[in-house]
Amino acid sequence: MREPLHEIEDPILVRRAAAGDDEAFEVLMNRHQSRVYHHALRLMGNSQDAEEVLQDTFVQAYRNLSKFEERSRFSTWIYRIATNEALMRLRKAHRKREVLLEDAFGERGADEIRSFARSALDDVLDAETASFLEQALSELPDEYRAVFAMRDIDGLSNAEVAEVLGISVPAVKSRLHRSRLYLRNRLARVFGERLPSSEESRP
Amino acid sequence: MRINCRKVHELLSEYLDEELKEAVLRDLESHLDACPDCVLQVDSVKKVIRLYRESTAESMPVDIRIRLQDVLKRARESDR
Repeated sequence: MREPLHEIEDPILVRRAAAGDDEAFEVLMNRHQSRVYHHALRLMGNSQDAEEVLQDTFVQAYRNLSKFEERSRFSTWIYRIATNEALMRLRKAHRKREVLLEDAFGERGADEIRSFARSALDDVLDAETASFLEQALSELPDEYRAVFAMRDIDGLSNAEVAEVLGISVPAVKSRLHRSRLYLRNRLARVFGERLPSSEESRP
Repeated sequence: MRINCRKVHELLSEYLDEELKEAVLRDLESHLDACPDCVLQVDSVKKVIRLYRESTAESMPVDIRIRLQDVLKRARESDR
């Protein structure tokens, strides 16, 4: 009896799809489309552009399956196609994303970081908070946003992110660190000022 | 290694990702034991990562799924 397709692991599905099994490709697509879409959404910042990136990614993957090298994972490969597609579109749009990534935070900042760190923000993740998280992420330069999103949101390893972006692992680590600090400072500035601390709010 | 607050700031991400060498990790943790400000630095970055992870939706809208299938079908047909 044939094993149900959805139980088969990626490498075997990729081999079957490359040999012309369209059903195998659909299973791969169903498995990875949501992560690719959310990744594209974070990079592009709107659902229309994200959908175009998603569509181009899977059409390209379908047409280039024979070029897929089995030493990498299908998920990493698909991220690479999606990321390149998104970054290319952002470059074409001449989007200027030159923000100053601040590492330092002054005296006033220290208080905000303190109340942010102690806040109960993650207990009540409301729409307003989610929208500000999105806003802060969109302020990062494109290549930094790509690193933070893949590493800290999607859970790829440093080596996988390096492979996707074609940069070194130390470069990934450096971008990740600076992105985290930038986001922390932005979030602390907005939420640190107005949130009750979880320690204070608990009896 | 002598670990001061500036060094903690530099090593924060590697600490959270458990990438520090044993000796550096020990020094950093003994600094943290004595420095509540640096503990806050660590906690605040941990919180950023947690917030972003939790805010992420897993599913994709159905209409986008359907349009993706259509696009792929058209690509297949045009390739044949």
